[in-house]
Amino acid sequence: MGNHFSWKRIGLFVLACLSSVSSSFGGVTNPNISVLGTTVVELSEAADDTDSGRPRLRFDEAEFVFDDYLNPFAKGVFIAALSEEGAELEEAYFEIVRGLPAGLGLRAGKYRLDFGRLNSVHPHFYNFPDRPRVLEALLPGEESMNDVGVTLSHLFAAPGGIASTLSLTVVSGSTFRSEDAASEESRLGWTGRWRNFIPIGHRSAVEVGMSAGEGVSDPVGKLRTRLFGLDLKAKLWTSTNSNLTLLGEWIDRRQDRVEIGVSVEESSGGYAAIEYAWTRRTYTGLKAERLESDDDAIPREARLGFYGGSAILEESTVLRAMIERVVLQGSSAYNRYLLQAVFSMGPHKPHQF
Amino acid sequence: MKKQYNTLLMIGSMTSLLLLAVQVEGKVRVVASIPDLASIAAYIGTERIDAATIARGSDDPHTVELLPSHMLKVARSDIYLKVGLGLDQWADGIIDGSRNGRLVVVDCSQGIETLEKSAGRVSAEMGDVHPFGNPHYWLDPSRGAQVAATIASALAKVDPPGGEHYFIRLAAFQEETDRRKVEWQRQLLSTPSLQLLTYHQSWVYLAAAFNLEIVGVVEPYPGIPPTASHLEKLIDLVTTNKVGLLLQEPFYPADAGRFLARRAGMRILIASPSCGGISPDDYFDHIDQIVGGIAGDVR
Repeated sequence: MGNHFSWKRIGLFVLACLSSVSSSFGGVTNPNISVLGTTVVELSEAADDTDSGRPRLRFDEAEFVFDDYLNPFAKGVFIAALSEEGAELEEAYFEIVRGLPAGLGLRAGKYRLDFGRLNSVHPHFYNFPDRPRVLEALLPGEESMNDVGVTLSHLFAAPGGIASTLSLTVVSGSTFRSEDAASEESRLGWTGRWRNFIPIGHRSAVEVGMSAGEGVSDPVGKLRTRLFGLDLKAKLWTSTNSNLTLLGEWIDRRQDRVEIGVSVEESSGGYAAIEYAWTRRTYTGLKAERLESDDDAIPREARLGFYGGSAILEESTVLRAMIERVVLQGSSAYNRYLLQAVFSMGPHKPHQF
Repeated sequence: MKKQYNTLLMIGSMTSLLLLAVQVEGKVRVVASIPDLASIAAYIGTERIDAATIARGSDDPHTVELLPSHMLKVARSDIYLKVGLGLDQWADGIIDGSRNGRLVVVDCSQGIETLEKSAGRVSAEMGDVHPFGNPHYWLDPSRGAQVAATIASALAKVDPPGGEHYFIRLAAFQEETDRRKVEWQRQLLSTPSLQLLTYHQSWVYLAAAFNLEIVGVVEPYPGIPPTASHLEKLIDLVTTNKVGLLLQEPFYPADAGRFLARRAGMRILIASPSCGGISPDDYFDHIDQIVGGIAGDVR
């Protein structure tokens, strides 16, 4: 787990957030407060799993979200997660949303980095019940690429009615630092993303993105990690409440490693999903993944999953399920079964329909 | 040297053309959350403004996706018209995403006397309740005229030379509202019963404006789909009261309505609370169509 904090610290942090707003600005309402809980039932048939064939019930985490305007020009967001493993400050940042020259946006603090399609999105927003294995294996960081940084972004009109967004982030580099690094020190890194939103009619659209990033995985050995990603999402509405979505992401990672001299370890992989929303609150989909790597710690693998989800009555509670076939190089194939329930209080919902 | 001079000349010409284009266009650019507000703005602003909308008539105004194309539209605008009262909370994401620092955001619910305002504590136990009142106020033409006044004032502030024009158009809007209201009331007078069932609580202002009685709502709580037991209760209710019409939005599931139509012999009038889409694009024509539908169907 990344940065851990004690329960007492988290409690103090929550109290500080609330008291600073209510006491120093009498008459101004508190920030928006949301709490989300995620419960998962997992059954894996993997031969090397000690619980193979037995269902495991676990509470993933409770996520506390505080967000609101800081002033007419900026917003602030605090997200803390409590789980059985401890408490963690997931994100804490402010964002200048207006007032900067040339329509620029600026974000600073600790947050999920804008790299690829899903990294900046919290997993409870995903339509599948867990994070794609490709992202878990190839992107640095425990649960996501999450770091202290400063992002400058710009939205502009490109020819053909395309809405284009460019973002560049300078990070402290801790997310790039390898667990095996000889030093706890971090060196500055960067990520960048260019996304193009191409509207097709009123609601349908295709979005194509390109991401890149670079950071130091071991400051002592001066080893670097370079990332490149391509992503695509197409959402095509077939009726008022039904749509077909195609989603995919491909990532290439080149990581320096020390052998006799420094060589480059190449890993790449991607996932692709096709999904149909039958109604406003019910969908099913098929997801395929492929991962290849020179790194012995990341075995070559392929996955095929069938998933679905539905909101119970309305958006505050969502049930998701997935059956996945996992084929690992040099090992027998096995199945995984996942059932996830996400429930929420407040304006931040498990999913935006 | 000559090459540099040519480049400078080209940049200069392009800048002049751009400035000329802005001057020639010279319109106040207005974006509204829903088409009704855009239609009212277009009535007030006529050729002095360019009015566009984010949601369309066939969309559910409660849930609109935050698309970059919407943000770009707002980035180029002068005024944003919000419904307010918590209906279009999504608009804040679009406005913030636009990074438009000179945008004037107008909450069109200001000064509106709201219905169904919660008196006590509001909780999700009550469904998707709007604590400051039901937000579908534009469906009452008199409240629509109040919205027109709010928009006229905003336009006059952003475009002072057009101030007189906007207030002349506002007077015309108020006059047309009064004239049309008399026609609509006359149209509904000839109907033997003014009782109806609605799917969602979108129609309370329309009902208040025309003395219609909403005897029941298909959703047991706002935003919550009906249960079988709730539908059974509704069948008893409509049978006892001899209610003949269900007024339903096009974006809600049709199965409950079809069930009620089959079991209780009700007619279903599919009408959007907003103009555009399956409805006429004009605010007055849209209400005209709904009133016509009710007058023709309520028995």
